[in-house]
Amino acid sequence: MVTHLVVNARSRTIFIVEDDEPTRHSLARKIASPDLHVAVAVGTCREILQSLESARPDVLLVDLGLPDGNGVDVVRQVARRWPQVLIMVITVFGDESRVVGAIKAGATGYLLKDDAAEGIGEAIRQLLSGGAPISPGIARHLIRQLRPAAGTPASASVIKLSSREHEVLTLASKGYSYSETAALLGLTASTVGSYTKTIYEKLAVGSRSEAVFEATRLGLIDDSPD
Amino acid sequence: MSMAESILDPPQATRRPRAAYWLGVVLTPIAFVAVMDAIDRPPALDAFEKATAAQVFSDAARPPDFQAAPRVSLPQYINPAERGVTSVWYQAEVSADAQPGGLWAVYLPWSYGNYAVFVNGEPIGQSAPMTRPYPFFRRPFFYEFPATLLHAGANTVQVHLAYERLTGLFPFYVGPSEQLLSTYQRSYLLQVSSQQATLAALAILTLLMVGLFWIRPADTGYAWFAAAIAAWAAHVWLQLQPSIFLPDTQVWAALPIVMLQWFTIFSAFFINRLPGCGGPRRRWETGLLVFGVLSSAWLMTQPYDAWVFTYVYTPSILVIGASILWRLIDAVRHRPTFEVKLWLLGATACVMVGLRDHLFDMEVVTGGTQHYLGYTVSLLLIVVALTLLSRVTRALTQTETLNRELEARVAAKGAELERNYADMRVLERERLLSAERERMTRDMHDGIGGQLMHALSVVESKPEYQPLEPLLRGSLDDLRLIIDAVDPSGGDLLAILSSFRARNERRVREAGVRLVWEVSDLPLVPDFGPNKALQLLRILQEATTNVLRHAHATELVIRTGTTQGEQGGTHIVVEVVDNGRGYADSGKAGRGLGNMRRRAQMLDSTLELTTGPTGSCVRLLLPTHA
Repeated sequence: MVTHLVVNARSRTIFIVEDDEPTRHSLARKIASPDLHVAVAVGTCREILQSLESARPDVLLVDLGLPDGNGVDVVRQVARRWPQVLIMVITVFGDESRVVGAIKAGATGYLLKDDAAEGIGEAIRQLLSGGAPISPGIARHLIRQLRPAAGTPASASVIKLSSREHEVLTLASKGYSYSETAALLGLTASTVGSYTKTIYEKLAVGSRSEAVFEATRLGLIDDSPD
Repeated sequence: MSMAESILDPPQATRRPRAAYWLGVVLTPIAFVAVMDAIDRPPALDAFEKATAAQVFSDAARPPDFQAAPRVSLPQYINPAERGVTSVWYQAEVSADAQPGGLWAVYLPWSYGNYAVFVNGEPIGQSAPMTRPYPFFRRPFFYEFPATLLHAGANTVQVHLAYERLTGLFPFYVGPSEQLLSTYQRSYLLQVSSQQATLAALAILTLLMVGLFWIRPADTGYAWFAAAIAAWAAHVWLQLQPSIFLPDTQVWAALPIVMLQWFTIFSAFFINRLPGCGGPRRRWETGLLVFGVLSSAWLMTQPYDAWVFTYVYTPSILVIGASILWRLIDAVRHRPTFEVKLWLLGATACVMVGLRDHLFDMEVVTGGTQHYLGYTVSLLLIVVALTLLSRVTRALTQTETLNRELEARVAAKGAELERNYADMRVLERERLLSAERERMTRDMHDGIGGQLMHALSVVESKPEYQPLEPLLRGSLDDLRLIIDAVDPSGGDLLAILSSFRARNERRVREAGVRLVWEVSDLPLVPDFGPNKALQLLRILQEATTNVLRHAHATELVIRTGTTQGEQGGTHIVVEVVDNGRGYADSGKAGRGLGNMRRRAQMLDSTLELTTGPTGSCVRLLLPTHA
């Protein structure tokens, strides 16, 4: 196809960890294109972590339910050790409770397993160009989470969104697409995508600080100076 | 508790007093004395004034012989302790060219003892019977007599003065009654009527202040203020009261000045406890008390000594007054509250007028005929006591207002709590739903979802299984629809519509149709649970499917809005509009329409379909009230 011929950037490497074999193959088949190269497709935590020791992909696709562990743990480990690797979770439903959990662990996107090849390729390329996908459900979930609970001061929330980020999130929760949001806010669609990505990063950083705070509070981390 | 914490505290003034205030402090007493001098002027009847008289010390009840009696100039003060006598006679002359007619009068503008008046040896009046102990009057006297008592040539007027204590005779007037009467009346008003009214006011204020202290015993300042008013009221009463109620006339005679001294001492105690005046000073106050007791005792037991009285006792009162001023000046400079400023103004007036009275006694100052301190202090006490009382009233009003506001606030708080509780119930229900949904999706993910996905992946890889693919995709979509329906939207239809769009965007686009999103914020619909959400999602799904399958459209608009219902109340409008050829004739679409209508009924809403060659519109009308 013509589009493939004009892509002259280097081919990007994709790793997949997904325990269901037909699904894994289906995904790999849909992704494979001149600019996207699936280098590793495995079915367990152990295998993917092993592969990552020797080489790092541009994008890692992680299924959450793995036979030897939780995909979220893989996301967390990879995000901490190799922050340059972009991580996407692959889910059947794209339900926000699972996606948001993965985002907090360090993922910046999600894929629906049954999406068509175009959809999957589009989502990965969007991620590679600095954007991040969001659904109204995820946006609502985030808005709910970032809203300070009644009775606590607003400053208690670790995560601070800029007003632009908040606008992007609000419009996403009302079902507007990136291009519509961009038109409403006078931005480009890719800028809207990068705002979403920043929101995800803030969420991940915030959840790490919250974890440290919680651990310190519970006495798991000794914060007294030596 | 100090006075500074009293509810009676005035609002704190932050502004330092300006030069005008200090000027006012200095000029007010001067202006006051000038006004008093103007009111309290002697009669402008020089012709009738008797400023000199012959004098004889005698206990006689009738005019004695004035032959060879020395002439003295008036006023003349007599100290019984020095003379050893308590009765004195004066005689002045009145010469007439011809026999005068009508009513005449003898006018004594200022008295200091018990008086009897005779004209040409005939008694015309007396202040009280001449029996011991002699009463002690301090008021003007006016004795009228028929002019027939006079004759052409030289006449005599004798004044008999009896006394138990320091006394004196002041210049007096003899003339036609009508020319002297108005002066007498003015003087009587000033010396008697006004002081009687003041006394009544002081008595009431004393009681109020005592009551105030009784209610708030912690405010000791008000107890001292009550004591000061009481001492001053006693002082005024003793001045108005001629009778002697104590067997020892010396003690009785000393009481007015003793009361004046204690008024000053109590005032010092009170001022110390005013906000900003530094609080009680134990040593200084103990010293004052000791001095007050000793000097009072000395005054009441020792014979009158003019030198001690003039150069020690009265100045000591002025010194206490000056110390009060010093305190107040300090307070006004550092913590200028309205109350303290008022007190400094008043206290300065009192001290300066007191000084003027003292100098008047020493005959250094000559304006006016009498002491002015009485008027100054009474006026000040009444003004300040009224200020304090107005503050109490204000505090009470404030309390009432607060009580009323409190009731309103409690009611509001109750309503808020009720709302919070309702909100909490909603949140709790949402939380339960959310937890249930999470459990369900996890189960589906691990179970049926994974299996469907597995099957779909297998089907996709084998061309011969292709016919199964739409079936499997349909199952997955249906599962997602159910999951989305369980999402706690809290009655926000826009949330449900948004989920629907996110799920179907690609499907619409792949069918070559452009999706136009024309939504707005919508009012919440109460009791819009998962079942209703699912019905709404299915209606939307049905409508969209109809458009994609049967309408041959290029554009699909999802639009929301609100409208007023026929029976009132806001209705939410959801429209799915396309620009296709219409699909009502299609049998399948017809069945789909029946399904949509049934689902709309379950939402208590109405569904309208308009369809034609230029496009169709599915319009759902949802009431927002339960």
